Amino acid sequence: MAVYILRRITWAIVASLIVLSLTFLLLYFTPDTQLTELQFQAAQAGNDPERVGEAYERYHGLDQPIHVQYLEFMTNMVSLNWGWSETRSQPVTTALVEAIPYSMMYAVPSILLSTILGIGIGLYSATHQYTRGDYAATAFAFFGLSIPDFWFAIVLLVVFGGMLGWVPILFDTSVATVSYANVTQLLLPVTVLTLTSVASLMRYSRAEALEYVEAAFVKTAKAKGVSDRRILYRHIFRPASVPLATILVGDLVGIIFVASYLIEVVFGIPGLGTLSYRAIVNQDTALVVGTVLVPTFLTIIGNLVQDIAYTVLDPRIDYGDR
Amino acid sequence: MSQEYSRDSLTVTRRRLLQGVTAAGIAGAAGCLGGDENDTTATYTVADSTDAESMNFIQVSDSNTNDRLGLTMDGAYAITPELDVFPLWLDIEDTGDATVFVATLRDALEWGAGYGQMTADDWVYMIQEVHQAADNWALSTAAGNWDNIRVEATGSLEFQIELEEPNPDWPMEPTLWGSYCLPKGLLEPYVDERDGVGLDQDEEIQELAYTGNLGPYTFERWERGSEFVVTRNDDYYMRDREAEDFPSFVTDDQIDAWQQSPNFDEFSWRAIDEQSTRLTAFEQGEITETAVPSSRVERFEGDPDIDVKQIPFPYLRTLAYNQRMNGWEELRTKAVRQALSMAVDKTEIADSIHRGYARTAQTFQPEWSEWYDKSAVTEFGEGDSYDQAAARTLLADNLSAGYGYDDGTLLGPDGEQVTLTMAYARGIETVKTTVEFIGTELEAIGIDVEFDDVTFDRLIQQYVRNEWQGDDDPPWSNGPNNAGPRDTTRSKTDWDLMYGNSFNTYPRTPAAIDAFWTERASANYFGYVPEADLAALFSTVRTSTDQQARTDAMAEIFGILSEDQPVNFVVMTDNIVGYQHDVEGPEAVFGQEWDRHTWRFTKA
Repeated sequence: MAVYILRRITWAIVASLIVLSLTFLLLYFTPDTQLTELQFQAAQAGNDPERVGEAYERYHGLDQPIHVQYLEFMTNMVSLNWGWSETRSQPVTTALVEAIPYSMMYAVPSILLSTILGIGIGLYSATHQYTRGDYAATAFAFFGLSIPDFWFAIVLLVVFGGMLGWVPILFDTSVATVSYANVTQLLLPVTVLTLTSVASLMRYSRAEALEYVEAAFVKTAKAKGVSDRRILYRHIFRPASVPLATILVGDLVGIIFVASYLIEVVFGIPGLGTLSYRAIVNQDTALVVGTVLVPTFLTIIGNLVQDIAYTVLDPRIDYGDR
Repeated sequence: MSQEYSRDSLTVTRRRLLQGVTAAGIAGAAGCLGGDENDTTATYTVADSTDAESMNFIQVSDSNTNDRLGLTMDGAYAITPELDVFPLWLDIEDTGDATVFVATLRDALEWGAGYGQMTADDWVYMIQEVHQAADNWALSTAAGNWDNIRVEATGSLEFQIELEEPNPDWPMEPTLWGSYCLPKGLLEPYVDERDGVGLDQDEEIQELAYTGNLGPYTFERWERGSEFVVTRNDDYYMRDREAEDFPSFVTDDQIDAWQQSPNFDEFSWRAIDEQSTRLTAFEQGEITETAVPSSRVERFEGDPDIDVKQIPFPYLRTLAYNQRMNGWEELRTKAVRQALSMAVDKTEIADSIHRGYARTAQTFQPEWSEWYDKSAVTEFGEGDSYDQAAARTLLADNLSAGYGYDDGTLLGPDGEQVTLTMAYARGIETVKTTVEFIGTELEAIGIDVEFDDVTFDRLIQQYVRNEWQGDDDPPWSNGPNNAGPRDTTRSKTDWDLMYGNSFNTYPRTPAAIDAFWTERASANYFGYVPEADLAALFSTVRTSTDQQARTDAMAEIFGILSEDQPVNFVVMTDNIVGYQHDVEGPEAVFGQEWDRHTWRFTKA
């Protein structure tokens, strides 16, 4: 097991280095849009665009040979000096550290809620297949999957913020994290995010659990007089949770770094989604790299954790000989 | 003082009070009540879609950042809508020949962070070591403005600016006007090391610690991506100015307003990407001021709590004709360009697409500019000059041999319909609609139009920038947007027409538009070669001290441009800004924000 984990960590490091090198090459060969716009502005103002270009390249070290730039890039990345965000005037790492708590404020409750509700409703549907409850849950799931979260967020904001005035429209960063005001302003983002993620989780849970509802060992347990609750938790949920763990890790990363783009932009939450969105829109290269690398590394680590989690959830899985 | 203000702030207060009472019940027991819920401050909140980028004004070129910086620092001087110079930190005076100007600083200007009084030395050091530094080590965006200008301190509070050639408009140009300064003591270590990165990342720069009493507000916090907040600066130097210190054109009421400024306890600038969120918050009174897209103005009409103002804006949207080697070669013929411009109804674009919140244009200057001479301008695409039948005739008469009409379709020498490629930057609804409309208009004169919608960055990279194609060195080059003579330069991607780029027409200093309209101009990306000697006319405007000669020369330039149609001057869109009804101060004129610090809420 220890050898396996060591191997996986080594692989994770190699994968990270490959990702970093590819990132550098992409950056190196992509035209610098900031420079282009700066030169266009200079031209419109009647200034010399060539001089502006030279000063820009000198300032950013772009006049250095590629190997010097590569070494500096890699050294900075490894030492967690991920550069200076030109559009926020702060280190990229600081920008990330400042943004993460805002994302966590609504993502953590949403993940907890969607996990509990998604799996709970999914198991209920599986054990009550083709009942009214199952149909209602299925309808709910398809509603959550179908409705565009971006649009749904705007509708909720207009209704509950604009028309009813129950929640503030603008996200206020100055309120205390644990306060009624913060809970109020997080209600809608949590609702939207939970609705969209609970639906898919529910459908997966239902499908996975259905595989075991009619399994021979479940029937045997029933015949032996095992309680329904024990059957549900020990004989259906446990084997079903192995593939669910895969989905959960993917969902975790997906929810935080993909869905949050839309949620944060609509609700004006200055979290990782907004950070990443603005970095791309404003062509803030260092920040784009930072916001891309975090989920990349998390995915690498998440995969590692997921593989280890399999062994805990299913004792039949053993990596001893790998 | 704050209690006497604002329906807006009182409403917010009541809401917050209710929230506070409820919160106390729910959260108080847990001992986790946060923030001051009994807030009665008068807060002015502006919202736009983009955040500031940096507090290092040396590298700042965007208005979003400048707007925020302007709350904590006044800058050198302001220019009123009537084009009067209103001294702020300093007064500027022409010594008589429009070549030497004397700047005199007030004696009550104090830096923060212990840097003492602002002196002429600070200014001269800043200009010489930063803006005029040969290597532009600090990446100053004002560097080009200070070329060939001699600056010298002539007293502790006075410095002299000597231009290479006379330029009566110089005080109106964005060189010293609105410019900021840094204390010499803060700059020195970075100047010695040529450390632009260090200067940019200096905490005193990014937290505006040096601003002292130089602006109406003091920096409070900048929540990147969300909110920039400043609070009232009780030491603001303008509060101590005597009435006799104000220029004669300032009224007593204005003097009172400046002496009491600022009128808000807190000023917050919010960045909200999503338009519907921003407008809903504005409608609910959570935002005091925000830009309103023309397509959303109707939503606020008739709302007694909101005023929407249509403010003239000097930027002009052009339909560029590519006259370089990879554009349709017929576009080099003036009459062909005129015919195309004649076939596009600008009034329809202004009235229908921009819903009346735009003005048609005929040359590179707004009609409201004092330099605009209607009698010198030739009109195309408006009123009687919008004539598609005449456009077809003009084309038929002036196109090269081989072109001709067949049943309303314009055919090229190959017998196929003439097809032009129109490039535009995606992302703006009105631009897309206008492009489609122009396509329909040109279809009516027998020309087929294909569209290339690309991102703005790509538009600049692939379509605007051009490169020399010859084997030898180019005879001349003026940068990546005009890399040489049009016969031997081309952009990476072929195009014929380009719509959507919006350019400043500089109605205060119109000679600055020479960056576009001479053959070698740095922003002449479309390859225009004027028959007239526009460079000589621009030189007259720049250097003559005879105002009539300058006015005449400028009128001639605008006349030639309207006649030549190097581009189709389509429309000038207005700025549409919404304010809560209780805001006193904003006017619907260009440059209306010069006295923003005196604005106030209507007294209750």
